[in-house]
Amino acid sequence: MIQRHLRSIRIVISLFFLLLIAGIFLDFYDLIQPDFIPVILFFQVMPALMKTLSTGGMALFSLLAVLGLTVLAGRLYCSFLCPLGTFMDLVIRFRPGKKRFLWTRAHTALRYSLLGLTLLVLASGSLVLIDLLDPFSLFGRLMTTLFRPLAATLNNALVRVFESLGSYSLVTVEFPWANLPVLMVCLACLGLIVGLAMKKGRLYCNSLCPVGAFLGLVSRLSLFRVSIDRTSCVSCGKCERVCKAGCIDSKNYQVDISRCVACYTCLPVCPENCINLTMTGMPKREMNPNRRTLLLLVGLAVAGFPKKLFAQIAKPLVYVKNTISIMRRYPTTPPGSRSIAEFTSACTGCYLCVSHCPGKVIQPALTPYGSKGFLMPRMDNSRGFCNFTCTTCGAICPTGAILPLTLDAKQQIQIGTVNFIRENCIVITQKTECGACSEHCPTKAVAMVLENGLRVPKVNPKICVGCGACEYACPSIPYKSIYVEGNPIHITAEKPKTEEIEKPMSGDDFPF
Amino acid sequence: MNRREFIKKSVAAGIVTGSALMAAPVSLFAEEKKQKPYDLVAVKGGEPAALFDSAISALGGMVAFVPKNSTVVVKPNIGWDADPRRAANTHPELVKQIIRHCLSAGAKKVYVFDNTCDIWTRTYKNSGIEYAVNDAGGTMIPANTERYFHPVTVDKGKRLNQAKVHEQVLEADVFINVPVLKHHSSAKLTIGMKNHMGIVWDRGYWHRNDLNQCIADFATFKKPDLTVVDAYNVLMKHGPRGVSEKDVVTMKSLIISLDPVAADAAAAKMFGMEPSDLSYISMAAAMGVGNMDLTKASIKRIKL
Repeated sequence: MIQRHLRSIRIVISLFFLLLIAGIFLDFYDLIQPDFIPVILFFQVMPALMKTLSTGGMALFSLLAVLGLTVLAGRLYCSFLCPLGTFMDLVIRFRPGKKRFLWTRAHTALRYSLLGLTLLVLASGSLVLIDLLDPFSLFGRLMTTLFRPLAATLNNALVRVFESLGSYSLVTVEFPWANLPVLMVCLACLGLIVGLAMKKGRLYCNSLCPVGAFLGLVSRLSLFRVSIDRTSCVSCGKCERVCKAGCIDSKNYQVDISRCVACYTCLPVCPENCINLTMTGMPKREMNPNRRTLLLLVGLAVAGFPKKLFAQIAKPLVYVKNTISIMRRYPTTPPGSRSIAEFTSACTGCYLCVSHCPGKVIQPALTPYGSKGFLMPRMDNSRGFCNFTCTTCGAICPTGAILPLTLDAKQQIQIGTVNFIRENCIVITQKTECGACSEHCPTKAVAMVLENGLRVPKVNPKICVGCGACEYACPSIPYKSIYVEGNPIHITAEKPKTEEIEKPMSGDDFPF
Repeated sequence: MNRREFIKKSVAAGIVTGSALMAAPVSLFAEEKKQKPYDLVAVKGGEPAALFDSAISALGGMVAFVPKNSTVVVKPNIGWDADPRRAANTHPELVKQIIRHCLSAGAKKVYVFDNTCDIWTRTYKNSGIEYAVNDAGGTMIPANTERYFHPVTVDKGKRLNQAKVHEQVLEADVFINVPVLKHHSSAKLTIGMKNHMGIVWDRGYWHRNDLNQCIADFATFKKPDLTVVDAYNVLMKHGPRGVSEKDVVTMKSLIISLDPVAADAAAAKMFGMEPSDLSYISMAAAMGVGNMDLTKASIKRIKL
């Protein structure tokens, strides 16, 4: 009977997606083509929602596909497609001391009020709760901040083995850890996810996860659902004990379909074949005892919502003083993100861009944009700079926070502008040549101008694209002498002027 | 020796034997002239490979520099993520031809690397050098992590007394420096001695501590067996990175010298500057690294 195999089919499909999605976050050899990444992420609900809201277009089909699947057979997303769900399944599968699960009461008030709150906060223009709770982004964050450095360490150990055998076929990967606050948050999230999974199975999905809550609502309409045939059920409780969502009440022959994550683990364990995926008509409308609580909470949230708190944009970042204080008013967002406002209204903090940025300039931070951008990435020129010929982040961003750009367009977008602190500069303080900033500048917005026999940097912000190569390369210590100030709204830089060059010598003779 | 290495070595041995037979007359010629015939050879008017062919044969062929079974490091400029037409990096055809000559002279292994300014995987690829090296039978190796660089002392250094140098440069039997001649925003021109910055790890120190003096200081530590200056396409302004192809002038020239100071001096003249305009050339000459006075050098001039 096919239903007994549904669990195996689910395991194969879910592992397939888990491996692919983990793969795109861990792929430091760039084996997966950027064009293929949107295909892999087609079914990811929250990125598709953000993309639909921010840019419209094709992402709507992703949403419709998942909605269609849910109406057809419940929360298939949660067990087949969600990488965090499959990760939890692995934790559950390999947890020590095989504890059994039991039916638990639904956390209806918590899950729907969190969903409501998440949507409200979203409507107010902040993605803070989505950033924290969206399962795909959370998974990506764990992969990028914790698993990727571990994988890089493992790779680098292998490199040494290969090199001791005289082969340079593997290469050392430099992948620094995220900054401490981000790392702490991610470690706490990992602890929470693993702890919950070990003790309570899929409780995260049925209490905190906004996607789970939303699909739970939709699944009340689903056509095919797991149900118990009361006539033949002997109430042995085997199905209840394997249900990691705790949604089977075998005493009362009930399956809470809004909490069922469609893992189908229960189907093959029934000795009487009486728990099955069956087609039902439209569900009976039952009064939810918690509906009043839910409404009350939503009402309270609307009334008392501290809008001011979430209305702040981009707190000034104060940098440490050298001889003069450096004040960066705005962080820089990646090219293709259009503006801080547009970026922060679509980024879910999945860190796919962080994983793939070849210049390692896209780095996560705790609150780079004030309360609006919790855990979102920004350009960190102390770690790297935006490669002039690279358009990777826009090509792979699944949420539309960073839009794809052609190389020509990218090379003219000004994400920030250069600022020169003369008093910090080596040429001024040491009175020797340096020019590292100008060397790295792709447009020569930083040029060297002769002054008392030495060349001193001179900046032309009009042709600056804000890549931060000058800031990264500046060797003055302890503080930089040149830095990029973010443009809160990206604009188009002027094209560098080109002049005809005089040939250095005429004729065919050698000048010596 | 693993299987792959065994196969590689067998193939290499075959090539060596074959090419040794073919190159026999050249070898004999080199034996006769143990003294290097010229301090410097300058060639113009050909494609990169042809330029190198004629220049190296004027110096007695590569066999005069590369012993059998030796390990060679060829160090081009691969600093920037730019295609060959931008002339920000050494011409890949020149690198390819040098590797071929090394291998047919009997080199066991030819390593190529640079500690790049842009992202190394992109510069290796987009410069065309990675492809050229693999095509010629050389080995492209990484220099992207500090682990490959080992501390050395620069005894004669005035500002630079310590540096970390790539292990293959320290271990190799032959070191061939293959810079590209181009304008440079910090050092005015980058040629051979400036190209050594790609075999050390911490360039920031040089920039903080009198760049020109550090370039000269390091030249006292590492003298390449051969400096091959690529002046086929020359970046005349906006160096070392360049903004567009409009910054480039095609000169179809090549300079090859045993003396790194003379190589830089001659290349500077080709660019239209005096060697004394570049303080690192004067400093290195004063420190006894080489000769910057081209009137005192024996020069072979070839027009193709």
